[in-house]
Amino acid sequence: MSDHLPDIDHAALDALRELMQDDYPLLLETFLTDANLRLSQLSAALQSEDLEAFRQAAHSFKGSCGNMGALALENACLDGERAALKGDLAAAKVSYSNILACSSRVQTQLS
Amino acid sequence: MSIQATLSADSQVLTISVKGRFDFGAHQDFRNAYERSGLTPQEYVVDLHDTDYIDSSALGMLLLLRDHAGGDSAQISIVHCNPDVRKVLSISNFEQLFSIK
Amino acid sequence: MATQLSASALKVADRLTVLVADDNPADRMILGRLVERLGHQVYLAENGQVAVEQFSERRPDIVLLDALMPVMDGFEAARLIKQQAGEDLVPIIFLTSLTETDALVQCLEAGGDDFLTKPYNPVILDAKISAFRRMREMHQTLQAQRDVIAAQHASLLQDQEVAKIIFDRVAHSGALSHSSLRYLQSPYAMFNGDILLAANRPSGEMHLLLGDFTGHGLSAAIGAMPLAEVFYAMTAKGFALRDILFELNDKLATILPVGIFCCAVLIEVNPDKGLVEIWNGGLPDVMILGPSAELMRSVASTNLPLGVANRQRFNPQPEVMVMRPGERLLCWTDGVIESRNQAGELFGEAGVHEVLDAYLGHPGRIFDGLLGALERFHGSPEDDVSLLQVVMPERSERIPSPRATAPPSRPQDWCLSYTYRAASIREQNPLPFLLSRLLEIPGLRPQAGALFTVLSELYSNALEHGLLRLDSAWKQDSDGFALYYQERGERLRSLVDGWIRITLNHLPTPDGGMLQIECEDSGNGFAPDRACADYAGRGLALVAALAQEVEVKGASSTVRVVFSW
Repeated sequence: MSDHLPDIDHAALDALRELMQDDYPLLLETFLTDANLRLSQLSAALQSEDLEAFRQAAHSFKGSCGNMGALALENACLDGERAALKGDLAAAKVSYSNILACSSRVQTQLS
Repeated sequence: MSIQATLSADSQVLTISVKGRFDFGAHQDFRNAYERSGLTPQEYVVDLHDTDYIDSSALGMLLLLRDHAGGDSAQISIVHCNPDVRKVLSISNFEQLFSIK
Repeated sequence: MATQLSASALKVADRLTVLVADDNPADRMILGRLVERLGHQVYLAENGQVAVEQFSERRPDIVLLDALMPVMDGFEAARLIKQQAGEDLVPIIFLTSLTETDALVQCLEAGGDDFLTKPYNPVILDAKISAFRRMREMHQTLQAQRDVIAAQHASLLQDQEVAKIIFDRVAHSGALSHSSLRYLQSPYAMFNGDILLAANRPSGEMHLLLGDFTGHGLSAAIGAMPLAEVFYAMTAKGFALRDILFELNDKLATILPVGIFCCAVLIEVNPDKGLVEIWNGGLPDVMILGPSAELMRSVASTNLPLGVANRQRFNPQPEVMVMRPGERLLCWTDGVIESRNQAGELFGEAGVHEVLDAYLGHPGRIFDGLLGALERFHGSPEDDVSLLQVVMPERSERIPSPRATAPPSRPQDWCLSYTYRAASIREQNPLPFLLSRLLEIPGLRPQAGALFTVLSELYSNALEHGLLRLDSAWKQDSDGFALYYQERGERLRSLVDGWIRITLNHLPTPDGGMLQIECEDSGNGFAPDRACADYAGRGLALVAALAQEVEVKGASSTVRVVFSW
């Protein structure tokens, strides 16, 4: 499904730029810092096989991706959240690599 | 309880009909029935055909109507009373103040 | 976030303070800025615990709360915030990308009022904040109105409490403790406008008033004050029932608003003569029961209630009838007749007659029987009932009149004479005035009752036989009695000629004093020889028993009575 979604919804991003004005760069920086934090939380959760921690990190990451217009990444987080909820470690691992890929594309485009 | 006021075609007779219980709850509606501006009937008819019950505050309301209509010169008839209602009116001897039919 | 709102300039009154709690820094920044753009002031918190602290410190109007947060989650924070808010309405909107129904239910259970899903839509956010602002304003208005109503209600209750104390003292006083009386006044009835008064005339007759004001609570209590005042004052001064009735009606008609009035029964009990006078204006039939509790007579209401009729229309004439010792009189307010049982049926007059039939032969048990029947009918003690029973006392059981102790003082030497002509005789009762003159003499005060009785007898004899030419022979039986008093009323109203002169001659004696009362009238005299008949002429025999000396002079149109002490 993520294949069909664009990485970035540019209209949403324009609206954010307009809303945040001078603070827009700060918002981007905050989002990217938070993204790195979530990625390391996800990776740590997989290593310790803590699916609840994985679910929470994916859920929170999903929320901010939605607000930032990172559509493909948001969707990948949703997949991860569902896999963790089902207790499916293998699926969670697949989701994680998906999230990683999407995230690196978003980081490149936003920086 | 519901109260309806009807003015005769020549505007001379105002008929006020009381349905159900005629007690304190009817106070405002009963007043409104004759206090509407512009009404100057010569005669009032209080129709109690559909009144099941009447209490002393209703007697008070009838006295207020009588006062409004000119006191001793008021022409008010109370009509179609059932026996219970009639009894309450006659214990208080309202025949002396109203024409009860 | 396709739609953008331009920064709105809210009126100060519409500007709210909004607490935004979200652990995700980017989301927090965006939402904070969105709310600011709507014109509100924003406080930020990064977890539930900080949110609760911010809430106690800032008391924001609305709280936007993320559900999943570290340290303390949104559910717990919501519970604590609602607890702190108490009666104030503080809407909590959960920020969530939660889709599972269970989690949404959890939000509601924690006290959440609504949800806002990510990504945030500024239009929906604005609509929700505005809706909650209106709800909050309505809540505040309601709270303020409720507080005003509660304060007014409390003060009203206090007023009623005070009024009830006063009303109870007024409405429930006088000579009610006399052994000839039994009564019941339920507490609810009392403040519902029922009033029961008893007082003695100086000459020993007892006056009773059972009344029922329209309305209840304060309005009824207020009317009771002047009623009781007039009743007690006039009875103590010796006025007759008709004078008191006239005054009561006049007073109530003057002060009560149209539509408020008092249904009442007034009774005079005269054990000396074995007579009662009953006036019924708007209360159920007064019943008189014979020695075996058989119904002898009912006195129906034939008058308008007190406070309704003007002077011209008002008829203060009581019915006069014979009551022998042991006969009893029962009266009640309409609470008895109108008592309803659970099924809504009326106790009614039929209920009363059933009780009377059941206690035939047991007069002493009627009163309790009636109460019992009402209670059984109603299913619980009836709470809106006033009930009075009077048993006619034996002649010897004279109702005691208040006796003042006389301070010693020197008797005086004087003579007074009053002549009442037809117009005054028609309109007024001169006796209270004469009595008050006599009671200025300290030595006479202990004999006030006897003096008043003598004065009334002399005056009535002069009036009824001398001026009105009524024949005592009529008073041989109960029917004749009624006729006699009816005739008396009619002849009095049309009296145009004649006079009655009362001379009070007061002489000091070495040990005390002597009072001669002379009563003279313009008539042809009455016939003292008939004094032996049952009711007729009892008056003069009574006078003879009370005074030291009685002398009938001239063509028996002058009577002289002597009192010494």
